[in-house]
Amino acid sequence: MKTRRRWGNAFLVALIYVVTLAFLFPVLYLALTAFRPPKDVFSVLGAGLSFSFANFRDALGWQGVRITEAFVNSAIIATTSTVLSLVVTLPSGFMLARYRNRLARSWFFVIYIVRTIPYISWLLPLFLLSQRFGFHDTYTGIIAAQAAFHITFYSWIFKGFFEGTSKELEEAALVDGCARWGAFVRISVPLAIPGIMAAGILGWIWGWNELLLVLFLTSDHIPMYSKTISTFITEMGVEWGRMAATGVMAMLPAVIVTAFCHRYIVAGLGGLHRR
Amino acid sequence: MSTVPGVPPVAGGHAARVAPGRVTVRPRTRRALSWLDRDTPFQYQLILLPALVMLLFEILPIVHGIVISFTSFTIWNPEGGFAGFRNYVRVLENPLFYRYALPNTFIFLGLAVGIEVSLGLGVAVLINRRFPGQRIVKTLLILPLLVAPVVAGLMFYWMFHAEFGLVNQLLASLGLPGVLWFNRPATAFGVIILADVWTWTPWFILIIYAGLQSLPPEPFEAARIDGAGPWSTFRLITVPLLYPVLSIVVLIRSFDAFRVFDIVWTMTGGGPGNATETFGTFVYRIGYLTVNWSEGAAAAMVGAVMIMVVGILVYGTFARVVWGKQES
Amino acid sequence: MTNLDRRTFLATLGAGVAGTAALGALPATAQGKALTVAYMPHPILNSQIEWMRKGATQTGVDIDAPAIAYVDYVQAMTAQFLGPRNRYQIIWNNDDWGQLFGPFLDPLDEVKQAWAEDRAWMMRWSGKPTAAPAVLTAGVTFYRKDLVAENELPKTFDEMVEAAKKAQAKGVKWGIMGGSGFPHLWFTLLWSLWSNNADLFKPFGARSWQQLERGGWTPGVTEKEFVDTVTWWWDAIHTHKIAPPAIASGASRTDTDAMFMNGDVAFAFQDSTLLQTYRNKEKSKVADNVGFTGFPTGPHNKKGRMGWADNWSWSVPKNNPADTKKKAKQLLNWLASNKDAQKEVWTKVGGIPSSVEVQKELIRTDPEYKRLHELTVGAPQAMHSAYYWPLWPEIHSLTSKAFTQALTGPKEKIFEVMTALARDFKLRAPVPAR
Repeated sequence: MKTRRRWGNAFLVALIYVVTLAFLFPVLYLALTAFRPPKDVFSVLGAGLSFSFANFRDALGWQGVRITEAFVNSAIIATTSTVLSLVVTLPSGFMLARYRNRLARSWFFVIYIVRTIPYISWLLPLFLLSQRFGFHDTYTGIIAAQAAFHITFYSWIFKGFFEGTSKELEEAALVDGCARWGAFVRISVPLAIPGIMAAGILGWIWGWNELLLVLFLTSDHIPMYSKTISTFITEMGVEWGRMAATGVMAMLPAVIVTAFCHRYIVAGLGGLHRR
Repeated sequence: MSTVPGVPPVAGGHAARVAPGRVTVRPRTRRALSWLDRDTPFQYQLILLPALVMLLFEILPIVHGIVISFTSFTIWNPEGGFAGFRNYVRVLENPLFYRYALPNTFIFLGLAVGIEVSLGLGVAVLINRRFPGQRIVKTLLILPLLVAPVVAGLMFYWMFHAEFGLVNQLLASLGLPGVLWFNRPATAFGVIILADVWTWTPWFILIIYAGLQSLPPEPFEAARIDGAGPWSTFRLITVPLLYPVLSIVVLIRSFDAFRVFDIVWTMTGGGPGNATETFGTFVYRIGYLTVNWSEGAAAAMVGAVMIMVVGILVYGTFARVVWGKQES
Repeated sequence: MTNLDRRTFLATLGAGVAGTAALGALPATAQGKALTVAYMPHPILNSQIEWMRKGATQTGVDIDAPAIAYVDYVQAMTAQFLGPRNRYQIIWNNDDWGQLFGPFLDPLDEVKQAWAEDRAWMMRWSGKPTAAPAVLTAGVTFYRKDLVAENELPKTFDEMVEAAKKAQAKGVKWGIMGGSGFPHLWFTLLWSLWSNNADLFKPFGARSWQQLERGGWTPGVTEKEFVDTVTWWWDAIHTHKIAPPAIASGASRTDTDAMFMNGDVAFAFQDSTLLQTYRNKEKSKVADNVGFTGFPTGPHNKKGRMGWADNWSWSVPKNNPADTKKKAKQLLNWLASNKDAQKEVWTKVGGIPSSVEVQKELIRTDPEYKRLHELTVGAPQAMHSAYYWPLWPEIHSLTSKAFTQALTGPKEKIFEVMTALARDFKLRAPVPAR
């Protein structure tokens, strides 16, 4: 669709700015709260220019809440499970892109149906199994479960990307006597690097943000920030300065990705609809 | 048409990459030299690993859940014994389930997704033009999507905090009484929906915008020539052309909205009273908090079956959009 | 790669699953020299852990004590009970779960039984003690000495309202505060119920699984005494305005602590173990003005001042290797016999030691302890604060929700809300006793 030139329509442009500001506002307000000195947290807007890192310092040193450890764990687990996910789902997306036969359709149907099932429906039994088999509250348990989580979505994203890459190069490699896996690994995968970046970044963020899996599969051994934050309102009562600071730190990856990697996000999600 | 930025479709076929002298033609096995359907073993190899992971961590747990739901497996009865449909009966006749959790979930789903798709469509069309600062705006609009729902819940709870929240402070400065947002069912629900709308509208904006970008220009040219105004164009051309995109995003988001948990649990824990109890918090409460595993499993299965049925019913639409248009 | 067809594919999947399952059947890893103690961060338990470390060095073991949040605690325990990994050798056993964990715990015959019978019977399984009680948790009413004179301490609900209003007239933000969210009902609804001859189930005071079953799981929530008590809280918030509306949206204990220590509340209903925290100059702005008294009695009260005290104990999970269990029990025995450890429960924290001997000694030597003892363990109407059957958490949660609903709705609807709660009780509560 050709974009229309509407330089003159100030009203619509102003509306755009208002909408954008509305979306940014909660983030800005939380950040403002976090950067106020603790005594000003309860009158955030009326405190002039007062600024302090005290909330961040207090949050990181919060007794018994183990926030630093939680952030580190969340990062480790997000990274490992994303790498695992990518390795596992690249072939899946590729298969869906290149094949149209009954097996491909069946595979698509399976991953679709599994995705419609509410997470909690298989998380609760998985939790019970994790206790019986001893992987409850272990790194292995949560990383593997997180990797399984996004098989469907990544498969769709990679399907979109592989459909956009060239079959001819792969077929050329086959003509040359390349084994199929060799062609896949050496030709198809490098061509899909933008897609891998997109899925990887999105996946990392989702892993970082994950709550439900964390609630079920981790306990005292593996604190994670999403779980800590979910208990704030009911258990930490009035420590809003620290809570805001923790929220700001939790949003840091989102801010960084938005600032530097938005191209990949747009590519990743934009390819979903595939005409 | 490629949606991968920076990767142009390769022209010229294999000759571009193959070194001279190495091209051999083997017409006898030509059919096996493409990825086509006869290549069954390779297809299976491709999906072996994901299938295994899915089997172990998603399908087997569900089977285990189904089995448990027919026993009495609880902490005070860990041996469990066959219990027939007793757990399902207990779930279905639990007022918390049929009077609160289930209706609330559907109301939430309808309102949240409805608002998100409308707002997303509106904003996508709005930004589908050239304007100063367009790159920054389109970048910034991604941010809420990447923020964790727990953090979004925290942000909005803070803004609507009864005593120290921004909204009540603003009301006070205008001379109006503060509202106890989380004390009343309707307002608590409203703030939760607001937080969800904030988090997910950008997702709609992104995908619909991409959809807009890939619409063909001809109908719009024709409409312009015919002198159609912007609203009629939108109503009669843009929206119908976007139906495939819209149907997919609404479906995906609806399935996700059904299992909402993070935002609700963080902000209200299902309260006040039962006002914001949803399917997710219900299963969590019964199966996890009260350590009644078999009943929790039954509750989990009830929801799973419900949504799977819907999933199967709408699969036709889904598959047609994702697969159908690929046939070329 | 080898040729793969559908049968081989499915076979490989099956093999993968079987292999993973086999991994789970591996025997648990051998235990190191350390004993792992599971507990929830709390001043009392922190103090006990310190003493355990002292005892550990004497008996030649190490102590590893990971702190587990209350919400995670039961899940962490079930992982121990049901799973193959011996994570915890000693666990904190809350009064809430006394009988629930019973089948999974090792009998503690070797541990010195230093506590009173009426508190210890809850922790028996098949006639054997499964817990080594450490402290009795007791609820009290904390008050600000600078706002309320000792001869003005309220003894009844009405006097409480007056005293709260007076204190607010002197400038404090709120007269009373408590926790009404889950699981904090003890400090709003429950103490006031038991002080007013009302109870969740009939007969009044039924606590054990058998007692509740014998009572037919009859809800007491629609009785006049119960509804009157809820109405008293409604009035406190809306009519007399001595309690903050935040109670009605499910305030927690930590809210009470924060507000009291910030100087915003005159009377705080809390656990006596908060005494030394409230008096800690580094955390509390009112450290020099903290006093405590018992709960006021309601108009329907028949037996006099109500006091509750229930055990927090240590237990040993059954599925640990025998020699580790032996070491754990030795340590617990050392701890239970150690009078200084028990004394510190009072002196350092503000709780009531479980040991009857130590209690007697403190009554003789410490007047403030004597006062606490008389208000709680020695009160004319002594009650248990926990309902000992598995669905207590769910009933607690339902009650908390109904209470919130009653407090946020109109006064006329309170009875209706309680009727609905009674229906829920009848539907959810009954579990045949083991």
